[in-house]
Amino acid sequence: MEQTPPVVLLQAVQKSFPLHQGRDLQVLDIPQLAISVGSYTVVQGPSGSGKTTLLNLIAGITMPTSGHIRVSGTDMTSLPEPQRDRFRAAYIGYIFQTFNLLAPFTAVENVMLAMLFAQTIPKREQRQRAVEILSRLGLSTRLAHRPAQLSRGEQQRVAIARALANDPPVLLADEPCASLDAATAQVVLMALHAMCRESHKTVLIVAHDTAALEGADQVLEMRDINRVTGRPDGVDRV
Amino acid sequence: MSRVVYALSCCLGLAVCTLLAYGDEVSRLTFAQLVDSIRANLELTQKIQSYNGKEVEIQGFIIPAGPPDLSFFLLSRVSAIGNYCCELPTGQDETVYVFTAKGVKLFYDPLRVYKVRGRFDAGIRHDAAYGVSLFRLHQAQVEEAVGAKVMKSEGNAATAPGR
Amino acid sequence: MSLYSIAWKYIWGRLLASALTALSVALGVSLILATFLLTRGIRASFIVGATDYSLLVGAKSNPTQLVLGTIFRMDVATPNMPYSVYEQLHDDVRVERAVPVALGDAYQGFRYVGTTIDYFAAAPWRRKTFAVAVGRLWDETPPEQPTYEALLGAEVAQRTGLRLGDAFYEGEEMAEYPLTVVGILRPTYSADDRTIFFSLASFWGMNEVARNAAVKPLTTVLVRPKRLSDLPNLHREFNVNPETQAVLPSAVLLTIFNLLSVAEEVLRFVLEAVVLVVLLYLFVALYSAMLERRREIATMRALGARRLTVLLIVLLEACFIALLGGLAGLVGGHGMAALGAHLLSQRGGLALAPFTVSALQPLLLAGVTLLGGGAGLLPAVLAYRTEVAENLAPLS
Repeated sequence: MEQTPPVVLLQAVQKSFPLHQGRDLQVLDIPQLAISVGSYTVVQGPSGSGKTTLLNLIAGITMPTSGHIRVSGTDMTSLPEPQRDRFRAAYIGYIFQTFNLLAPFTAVENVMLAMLFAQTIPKREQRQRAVEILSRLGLSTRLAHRPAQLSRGEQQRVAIARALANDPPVLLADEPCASLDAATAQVVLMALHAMCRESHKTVLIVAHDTAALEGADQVLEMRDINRVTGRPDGVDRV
Repeated sequence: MSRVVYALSCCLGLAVCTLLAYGDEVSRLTFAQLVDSIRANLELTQKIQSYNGKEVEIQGFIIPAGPPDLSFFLLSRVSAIGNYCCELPTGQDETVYVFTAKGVKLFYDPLRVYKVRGRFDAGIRHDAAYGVSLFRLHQAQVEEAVGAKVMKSEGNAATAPGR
Repeated sequence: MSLYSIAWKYIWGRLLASALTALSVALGVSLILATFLLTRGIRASFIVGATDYSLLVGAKSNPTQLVLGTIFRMDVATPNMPYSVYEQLHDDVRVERAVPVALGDAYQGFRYVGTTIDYFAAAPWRRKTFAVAVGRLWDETPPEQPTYEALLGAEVAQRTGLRLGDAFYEGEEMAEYPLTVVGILRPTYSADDRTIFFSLASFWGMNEVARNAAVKPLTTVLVRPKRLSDLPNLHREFNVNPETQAVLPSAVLLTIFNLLSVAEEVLRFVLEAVVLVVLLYLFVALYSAMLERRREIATMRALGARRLTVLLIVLLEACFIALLGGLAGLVGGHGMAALGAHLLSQRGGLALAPFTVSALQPLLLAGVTLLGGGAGLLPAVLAYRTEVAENLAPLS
């Protein structure tokens, strides 16, 4: 039996958002969640079930109301914000649902930005590394293009390249195929699988289409991990 | 909070004391005194020489004899314009050569009496640019004298335009 | 990739808006710089050009006209007084130097002045110095004989193209008495640059009325007393005299300075308002840019940028725009000031010394950049306080 500690560990994590008139809306109540190293996990659930909030908590973008979150052995919840940000830059690659590329910057520059904030890759090597990652994702002819000049599939691949820029051990993807057609979605999923198998990265995907389930080590339902029962649709972002 | 109030009132008190002290330090000189201080051969009395190097205040009219920035002017018992019929002519004894401090700004009025405060310097001096002078004020500050009377000379009742 | 290049990319990305903002900063800086240079230049030119002589004696007229005509060579009516006034002053034991001046017609707009060569003589109490660039002063011996030799001010030679040895006259009746150029002066940055000088004898010789008059006319006598304390006496004596008036030119200039100060006060108010408007514009432009950019800021934060980092990026943007506008404003300000100086010399006879670059320009630039940073502070704080999770995705 493997005794390696889980790369992501949530313990007694609760998250509430304040509403008007002093009331709170509880979104998450997770007694325990462990993701093992090098695994490919898919988290499923209807909209409004708190999937994005879960990813944000793991990434350290949001803090839980109570409980602890450990990533790669570090307790994120006890870190002060600037250190949490720095940690996130180096240890977590985040692929957003809406790509979130920065408009004034080219593909290469978008990837280099991630390296600028983490400051783990030496300055001299940053550009070359960005070019390498983008080329591996088939974007060698699109290096100097701005997001507005790229197709959706290309934009998503730049987003993936950006997430990989600092060689993080953990990759989080929030509905990575939601705005893609079937063929492009397939390419993206294959790339993510490759990250996992070849580079031994831990991949955690939030998705609600069946194509994403293929090849997953673990499929988690939100209703199984979250004690808070589903909320009505449309109250997703509080 | 009380500490702040205490500190502030100490500062205020100090400022008032300084102002009072400064006010006391400056002696008023009149043109009559200047005239009285001249002996034979243009020698000056010890009394007037004791003011040398000290801050004094003299009131008079401004004669703009220097550049229009008023860096230099003559302070005189008589105004440049004014009543010609009854004034006595003035000379070196009733003229103070004033060198103002940098940045002195004035709204010059030839008929106004001004208070000039500066470092007093008595004795004959020859200057290439300003000629010979007997009395001088250096680093002077100038302000309008409100409600001032021009100092009389030898019983001639020359009164100032009261303000 | 650095914070500087990120800030620069955002400016470049919104080129038109950034350019407009920088332009408004440039305008504000230009106005401030031009105003400062011009007012300082005008004051300096008054001081340099006018105050060697503490007393002017002329015929009874308006004191201001006498000063403006004599010192600034403006075209004002100045009645004549007899030459004997000059002789009286010349012989007066209280007078160090007396210089007679006769104002006359003009050649192509450059005034004729009849005087003695004492006008140009140096003295320890003179601020103004004259130097002959080419040629010489006119011959004054014998003084009664008109020589029609002319000394040109620097700008006269430049504008008319007259050179040494050239003869000129203006108007047909003057054809009999042409003037010959014997010398050209170096620039003095005063009205003398636009003047043509010659001897008094030549002045009277050229003028038909003066030629035949028994009492020769003069416009002014410039007086420097041996002792300044004699000024009030001299001043009074020549004012009491029914034929003459005495003027302290500094007194007249001070009155003009007072007016100038009032104008400067008003101008200062206006400029302060302009600065406020420009800063407000900069603030609004940056603030609205921040509002549009919240998602990108949230993304940067999600990628690991700290709050301070995004704040600095916005501050850098503000400072860059202010700096660019400031640089353009320095150029524009000098241009405006040069134009203003040109107009002043053409219309007002006031010659300003050329504008130099001193500590003022870098100080102004630093001040503009700082103020720009200040205007960008609130938008930068907005970026600082951006809540990441909420702003990562567009509102659906």
